[in-house]
Order: sequence, then structure tokens, then C-alpha cells
Amino acid sequence: MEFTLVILTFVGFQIILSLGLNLQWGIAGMLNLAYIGFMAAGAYVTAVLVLPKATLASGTNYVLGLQWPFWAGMLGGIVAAGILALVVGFVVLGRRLEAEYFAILSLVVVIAMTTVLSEQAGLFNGVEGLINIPQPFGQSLSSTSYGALFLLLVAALAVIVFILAQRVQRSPFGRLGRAIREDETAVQVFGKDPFRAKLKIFVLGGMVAGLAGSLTVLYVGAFAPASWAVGETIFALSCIMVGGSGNMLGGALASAVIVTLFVQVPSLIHIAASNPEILAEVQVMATAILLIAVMRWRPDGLLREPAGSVAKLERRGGLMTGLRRSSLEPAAVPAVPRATVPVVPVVPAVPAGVVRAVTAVEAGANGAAPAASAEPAALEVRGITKRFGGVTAVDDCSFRLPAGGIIGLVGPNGSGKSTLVEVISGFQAPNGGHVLVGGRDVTSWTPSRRAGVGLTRTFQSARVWGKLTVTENLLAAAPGLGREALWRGALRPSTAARADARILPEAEETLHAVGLWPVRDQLAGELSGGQRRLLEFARIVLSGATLALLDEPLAGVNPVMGDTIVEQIRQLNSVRGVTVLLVEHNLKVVSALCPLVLAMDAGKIVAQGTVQSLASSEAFAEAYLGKRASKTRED
Amino acid sequence: MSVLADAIGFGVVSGAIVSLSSMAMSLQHSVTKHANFSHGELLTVAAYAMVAMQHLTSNVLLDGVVGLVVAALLAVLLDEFVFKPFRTRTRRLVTLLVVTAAASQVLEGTFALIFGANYVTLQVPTSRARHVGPFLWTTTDEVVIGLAVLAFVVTHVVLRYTSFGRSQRAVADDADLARVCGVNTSQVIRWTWIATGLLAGLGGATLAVYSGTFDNLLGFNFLLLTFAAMIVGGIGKMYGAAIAGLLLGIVTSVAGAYTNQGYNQLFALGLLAIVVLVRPSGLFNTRAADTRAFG
Repeated sequence: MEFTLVILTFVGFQIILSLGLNLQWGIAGMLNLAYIGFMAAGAYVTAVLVLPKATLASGTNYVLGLQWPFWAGMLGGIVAAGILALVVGFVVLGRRLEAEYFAILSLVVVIAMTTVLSEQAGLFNGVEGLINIPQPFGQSLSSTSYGALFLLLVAALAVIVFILAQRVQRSPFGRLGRAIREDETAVQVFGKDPFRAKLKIFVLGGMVAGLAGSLTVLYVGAFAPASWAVGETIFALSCIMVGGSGNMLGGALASAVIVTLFVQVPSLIHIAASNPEILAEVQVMATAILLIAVMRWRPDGLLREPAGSVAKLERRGGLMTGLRRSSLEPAAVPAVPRATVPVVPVVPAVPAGVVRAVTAVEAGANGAAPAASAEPAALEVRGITKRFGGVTAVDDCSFRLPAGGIIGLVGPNGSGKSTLVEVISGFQAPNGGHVLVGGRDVTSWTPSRRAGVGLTRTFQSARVWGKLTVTENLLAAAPGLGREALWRGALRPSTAARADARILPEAEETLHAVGLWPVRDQLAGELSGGQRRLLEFARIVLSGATLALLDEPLAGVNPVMGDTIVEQIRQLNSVRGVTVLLVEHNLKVVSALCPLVLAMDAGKIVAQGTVQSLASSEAFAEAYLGKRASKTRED
Repeated sequence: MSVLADAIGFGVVSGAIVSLSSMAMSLQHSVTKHANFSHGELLTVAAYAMVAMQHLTSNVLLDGVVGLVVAALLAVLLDEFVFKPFRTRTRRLVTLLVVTAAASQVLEGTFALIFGANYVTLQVPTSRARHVGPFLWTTTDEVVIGLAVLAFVVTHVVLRYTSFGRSQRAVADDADLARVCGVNTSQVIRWTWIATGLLAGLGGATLAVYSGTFDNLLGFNFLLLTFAAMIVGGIGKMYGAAIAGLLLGIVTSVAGAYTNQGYNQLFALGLLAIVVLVRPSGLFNTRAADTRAFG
């Protein structure tokens, strides 16, 4: 009986520990090898808060020794772990490091912590660690009832943490975290700051680790550097992977099973049972093997990450965990009947804005000051220059794109089109010139800040959030506002779900309009190249962007799908009113869509006009048909 | 003066070992493009192989050769059966990082099972210390330095003047381009792992000789120093890694001599953190960050 209580208590510790890491790794995809260090922070701080002052007689050294009640010590431990996570996260996450550097730095953090705490005996008694940590409940209880009481405490806290983690995972905030994990850049272009979201989840995970450490130290009564090696992080990671990373229930179940097995099995292995040090090594080793095997043959783990919107699930009467969305019954009635999908004429009338665009660009190109129009241009580029070392990729480019217009940007490979898009969208800083969006100078702004004034973009290779469903992709692209607040997802899940539900009709209408309705519940990673493009357009609509830079939207799309893509770009512009700058090689596509085209060569805008008029232009023909070679020879 | 000279002399020796390890890691990273968190175990396995070999022969040199071969074998097997399936299937780099970290734990556990969790001792011939210039070096120290220099020269010659070296550099620069140009990339990757194993094994063997006693964390404790050298030198750049390894050896030794010996690794870690946060392309990188050129 007593032994069972002990096992169950340790199961509880591991469940809490795994839940915290599942937030960081499962949701946000951060490989934090220092995770166990946050558990240690919680353990040490709790210990020195509840311990009495260090005395010579006790033979140990440590700071504080405040003899606080255990619950205050626990709170202190959680806060300390949170502060440590905040500091580490602020420094490490702020630099937008590659996954590899992040993992290495996290390893640096935990090794540095171990080194300092082992060397500085005055802090937490060095390598020997802390002992005789007071038990939380009075000594009067029998050991069985004490064990039962402690188990009750651990179980209650584990349940609370589980519910919290579960809510976060399913909340709009959790969806944002998953989107960041799948593609951080794509999150930025919809005006969301990945750094803040990652920092929040990093701190939350750290605090959960702190709670686990705090409970462990109160139960075991001792804590030393040897109890928190890197292997412990790998152990927790294994539990998560086996259960299914991103799935809170899976991670918790796997933790329970693995810990129980480990307590039971050693008695069967004689060599391990006789040597406790080897036993620990073997346990970590066995889980590491399990981890590799699961990743190899069942990468999703036992239970899949729940995907799908909370609002939809709730509307269908009940939240399900771990079930694939597609296994649920499809909604009987779509929110928006097909009849309301706008029917767009095959050949739309040229919008008034484009006519203005032609005059505006011509005015700019003639060197005259742009005509002072009543309304500022949706996009104005003034003298943008971008150099890479000795190469001038973009050379003093200027043009205006009025609201509602659509302009094509053509030119041979290496002419600077993509670099210009990078500069306009804020991914590259120009060496000179200005970018104005709606009259506002955004030259020094980050991409996500530019999205705040309505500027978004697509990339040459489609960037969708692969492990989010198609519908989720749209919901994640819609403005966050208060919906994606962490506290709301954790504490007011129904409010967050309702906020989501308010966006859902627009999302569903857009899915019908772009023709993705049949695949709305599929993971975006399972879509074809063309469907991904359509999803990108749908996201632009949902994001409420007013200006979209489309960088070669027909790249990676099969020719049959091409017409659909062209039609959807037309709709994006004429029906949704999004101003479009279209970078494209295919002149047929450009001439079908854009009444006005800018031609770039060698970093300069060399010509503008309709495709037909450009085809007869010498500069354009040179750029496209390769007369440059002959010209160079003449020089 | 003498404290400083001794510290530098000491640092050169440990720096030579770091260089061996970081050259190995750099070589591997240049073609596989991912960090290997089980790199330390390639060092450890060579050290344990030497201890095991001592039951057969007391010739340290022969033991060392066996250590190198075992490390190379482990490197190839690890890649073939553990890393490669993930490298070819997954697009997420982070998956591979988890796998290498898990592999590190598996190997550490295996070592503990076979050799026990306690320290083992490698019998090495006693050597007398003597002054070489301002430095106080034992014969072992000189051999370690000599081997590192030799390994550096051999690696340079192989990469520069052999057809394997040419292919290796091609794959490091652009694997897809190399493949369409007829380079057998999987063969190049295999041989690169062998070279990595040999160099790391040499690092482990010299480290074992140098330390005398060690446990299953011998290589793991060296992992971050190796990462530090590779990153400070510029990822994927073998010469940068070698120089940075030497530099880090000296910096940690000198800093440790004037502060607390227990902290000497912290200085390398601090340098690593600063380089990653401020100049991730490495200290010696003169070209644009996106060109992973050789040299």
C-alpha cells in the first residue's frame, strides 16, 4: 500500500514535469535542453524558503533559510522558476535563433547552472546538495496517511496543471504557438509577434517545471546537482513523444506508464538492481531508445495532437481529446450556403484605381514629383536601394501603387524583384530610400508591425502551417486582438472560443470562395501545391490585409491549377479590394491580371506600361530576350 | 609570469584536444548540416576502447589506434542506422537534434552498463616534465600536441588534394548541386563520418591519456567546449574550428588559473553564448553569413 502511494506520487511529479515541457516543446516546438534546470530552480528556492537558518551543527551551507510554511515555499519556487525562464527566454528567444543554436544555448544554460551551483557551496550547499528539508504536513501523521495526504496534494495539482495545459493547447493562443512552431515567418506577416508568444509559453512551461521541482523537494526532503542532469530532460521528452507531442493527455498517460514500469522492472534486472547508479543510467537509456523508436516508426506518438477549432468542436456538442478531426462527423450545414459565394465575372472591368495607377507610375517615372493626390497611395516606394557586398540588387527604385490597384512586377531572374519585395515587406533593410504604406513611412518597421497597417505578403514557396487544419490556418491568420491572449485561453476558454466562433463564418465563406471547403478539416501539410496557394490567399482575406505582395504565386503549382490561381488573385483584388503587387515570370498571367506592369532589370525599373506595350519596348526586350550579351560585347 | 606561462602551456595541450574534437564536428556538420549532440560519445568510446584493449596489450599507441577505429565504426553505424533515416525523411531539423541527444543518452547508458558508472583508469607510461621555451610540458603533452598538428595537416591534405576531399567540399557547399554533378553524396557522407570518427576518436584517445582516469561522461563534458569551438570558428569551417579550439583551450586555462579551476569551462561557454547571440556566423567569418564556404 505504502509503496503504491510512493509510486503514484512520483507518477504525479513526472506528469506535471511532462506537461510543462509539452507546452514548450509540444506546442511551440522549442527544444529546451535546460528544461530540468527550471525544475531545479523551483526545488532549490522552495527548499531554502522552508528550511531553517543554516547552522554549523547541521553541517550545511545555504542562503536564506526563512522557515516559511510549505505553501509559501512552493509559491516562491514557482515564481523563481518563472523569473529564471523569463530572463533566459528574453535573452535566448529575442535573437530569433535557429533551432540548433537555441538547443545548444539551452544546454549551455543548464551546464552553467550545474557548474555554478556545484562550485558555490554557500548558495545551495554545492555538490552535496540540501538535506533535511522540512515535510509539509505535521509529524503526527502515520507514514501511510502522510503519503496519502501528499499524494492527494500532488494529484490535485497535477489535475489543475493538466486542465490548464489542455486549455492553453486548444485556445487561440495555443494555435498561435503551433503556427509559430510550423512556420514562424508566416506568423510575422500576419502582424503577430512570435517572440512574445514564445516567451509567454516558455515562462509558463518554466513555472510548471518549478512546481514539479518544488513538490519533489518537499516530498523527498533532499536535492543535489546529481538529481537534475540533462538526461532528465530527455526522459521527460521521451514521455511526451511516446504519448504524442502536443497532446497533453498522451504525454500524461505515457509519463504514468513509463514511471510505473521503471519502478517495477529493475527488480527483474539483477545487474541494475545491485547498483543504483547504473539503474538510473539504464532507465534514461531505455527511454532514449524508446524515444528514437517512436520518432522513427510512429512520429505522432500514441495520441495525435488535437487539431481543429475549439469553437467548432464546442458547437458540435463536446470536446474530444486526441481524436483526429476527420474522424468526427462533418458539419451537417455549412455556415454559409454556396449561393452566397460571390460570382465574379470572368473579365472584370478595370477598376478605377488601376487607371490612377498608370498615371501615378508614369508621373513618377518621368522624374516629376508624384502628383499630390487626395488619398495617399496604398504603397509608395521611394528610391529604394539594396546592396549585398559589391552587388547592387535594387538600384534606386520608385513607384506608387494606389489603393485597390494591381500592378505586375516582371523581370528576368536576378533582376532584383524578390529583393525589392523583401525590402518592402521588411525582411531586408534597404541601404537607402523609403517605403510608405498608406502614406506612413514604414522603412524601419519589422514585418509584423507592417502587417498592422495592412501589408502582408506570400513567398516563392508556399508557407502554410502544416500541422494546423485548413480552417485553423485561417483562424490563426485573423487578427489576434484579445482572442489570442494566454490568460484568456487558460482562464476563460469559453470567451476565447466565442471570439473564435465570431470569425468562423467569414472563414467558412472564404473557404467556399476559394474552393477549399471540401478540405477544410485536413491538415494544411497534406494539401497540394496549388491548394496551399489558395489557402494563402484565403489567409490574406481573413487577416484583413489591404495590401498584398504576391511573390511568384504560380511557382510550385501544376498548370491545370494555374487558371484557378489566376482567378483567385483577380478576386482577391476586385472582390476583396486588396491592393496587389504581383511578382511573376509568366507574362500571360501578368497580362491577364495586371493592366499595368513594371519591368525590372539589373536592379532598376526599366520600363512600365501594359504587357503589350512593353513587348515592343527595347529595354524590356533586352532584359527578357537576352540582348544584354551583345550589348556587353559592344561595350 | 610563470603562472601565465604554465597556464598557456596547459591551455595549448587542452586546446589541441578541443581542436581535434571540433575539427571532427565541423567536418560532420559541413555535410550533414545538423548538430550532433552525441558527438561527445565518439570521444568516450575511443577512451573506453583503449581501456578494454589494455587487457591485451600495454602498447598505448596500439590501444589508441584501436580506439580510433572503434570511434570511426561507431560514427558510421550511428549515422547509418539512427540519423540517416531521419535525415532523409524529416524536414524538421529539430527532430534530428532530439534524436542525436537521445543517442547520446543511450551511449552513456551503454558505457555505464559495460564499464560501470565509476571512474576507470588508463595505464599510461609515466613521462617527465621539461621546459620547452617558457612552457612546462611532459612527453605526453608533446605527443598530444604533435598528434593534433599531424591530424590537422593530414586532414588539410586529404580535403585539398584527394578526390574524396573535392567531393566532400562540393557536398558541403551544395549537396543537391553535387548530386546532379555526379558526386555520390551518400558515399561522401559515409566517408565524412569515418573521418569524423577518426578525428573525434583521436581527441578521445588523447583526452584519455591526458586525464588518466575518466567515466562515461568524459566526452559529454567536452561536448559544449567542442560546440563552442565550432561556433566561434564559424559553423562548418574546419580551419576556423581548429584555431578556435586552440584559442578556447588557452582562454579557459588562463582564466581558470586566475579564478577558480572549477569555472574554467564557464569562460568557453560564455564565449559561445556571446558569439551565438551577437555574431552567429563565427568570429573568423569574413564573408556574408549565408555563404558556407570552405576555409
